[in-house]
Amino acid sequence: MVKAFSDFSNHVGVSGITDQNGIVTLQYGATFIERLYIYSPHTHWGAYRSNVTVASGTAIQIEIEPVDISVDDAVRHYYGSSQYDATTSVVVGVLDTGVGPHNDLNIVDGRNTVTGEPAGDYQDWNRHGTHVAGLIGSDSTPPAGLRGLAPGVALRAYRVFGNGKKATNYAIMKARIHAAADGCEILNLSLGGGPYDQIIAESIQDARDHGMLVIIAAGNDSRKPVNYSAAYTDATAISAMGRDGTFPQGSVYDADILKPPNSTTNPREYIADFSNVGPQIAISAPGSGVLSTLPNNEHGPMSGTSMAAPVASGAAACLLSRDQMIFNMPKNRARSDAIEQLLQSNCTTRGFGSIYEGYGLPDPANV
Amino acid sequence: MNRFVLKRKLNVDGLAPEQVGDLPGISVIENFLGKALLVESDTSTLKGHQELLAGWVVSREVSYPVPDLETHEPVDR
Repeated sequence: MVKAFSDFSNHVGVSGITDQNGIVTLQYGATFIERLYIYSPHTHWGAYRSNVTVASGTAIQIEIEPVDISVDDAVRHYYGSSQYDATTSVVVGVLDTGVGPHNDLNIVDGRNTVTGEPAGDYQDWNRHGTHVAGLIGSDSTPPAGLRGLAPGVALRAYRVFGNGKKATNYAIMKARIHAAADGCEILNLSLGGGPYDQIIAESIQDARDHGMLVIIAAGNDSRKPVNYSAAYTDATAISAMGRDGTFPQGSVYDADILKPPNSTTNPREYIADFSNVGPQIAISAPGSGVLSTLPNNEHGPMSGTSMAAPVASGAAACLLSRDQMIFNMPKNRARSDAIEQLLQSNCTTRGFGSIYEGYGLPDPANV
Repeated sequence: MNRFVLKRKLNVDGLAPEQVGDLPGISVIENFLGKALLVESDTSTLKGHQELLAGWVVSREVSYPVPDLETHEPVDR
């Protein structure tokens, strides 16, 4: 898909789908394109150009780069040497569109909590949940596959999005109850939006009371306030950061780069253009043009606070796997508080400011 | 008719799930382990039973959008 905006902030533009030869004709009515996006299949990085002038009736040619999973994307740049202790049986619950199938993921079990769908159908009907899961625990190395932060960590898939449908507070609440019974230590919710909802607020509170850390994406509304569910008191809200040079220049992920704020630690780092921000942000993690698993043993890049949240979940899993005292605590509020404290105390600020990064990036030196 | 989620409050006496289903104008779609109910009802009917439902947290069924994978620009996410 190709989208050309003449006025991006007011969403004025046109779009079209390329043909089998990669050609699209747009009835644009202007010669200046403020933003041009080329969205490609997951096998390529797509393309992004800004402030393009095209004479009427003429064509421009843009090549898109194929994805090579051996590159150091932001996750591998920061966490290529993460230390996960696989002898500790940490369990991470992924509440999403389902997970897998993928040979590099240790999906110990799962459940579909959508009303009217079979409980055993927890495979990914989309791609989102599998990408999220791979950032946490993919167990492979390039060129065959990718290494997540906690390779081989036990994953439990809770499919809360119905097949082609929205997720509901009811499905999420059910998943939380199952997750407690299943012994999860960390829950990842790369979802959100909508108004305050007492059912979700209490579900997160209940999860914390059962010893689980609940890590939630802040939302992708371009610097708007942190979404519910991430904004609830007991949630650990995650913003998305990135680093120049961890995806090809000119790829569609270039559009994620927005400065200020600049990192005072490393000027190549940025808080992603799309990321929501606010006082609820606890942690910032890489979520801009990051590679991960896709169903049926495939791989590809994605952006979003949806991707930053599982990086934080993977970091929490690594830290917890090496802290037997906290891991063996009774599964209650004191334990979830201890896991939260463990994660926060192992973060390093990057100089963005607290509303952008909270306690900062999970410190690669400690994760 | 709207869908509502009912979550049983801890340590608060109240109607059992089966009794909620017996209330006029409330139709139980799903009973989850006795801990939560998905019901269908008119908002006004449900409000009329507010006192009887004191042992339950009542909320509308809220939906969350499917993540958009095809487009990556902020306006569409």
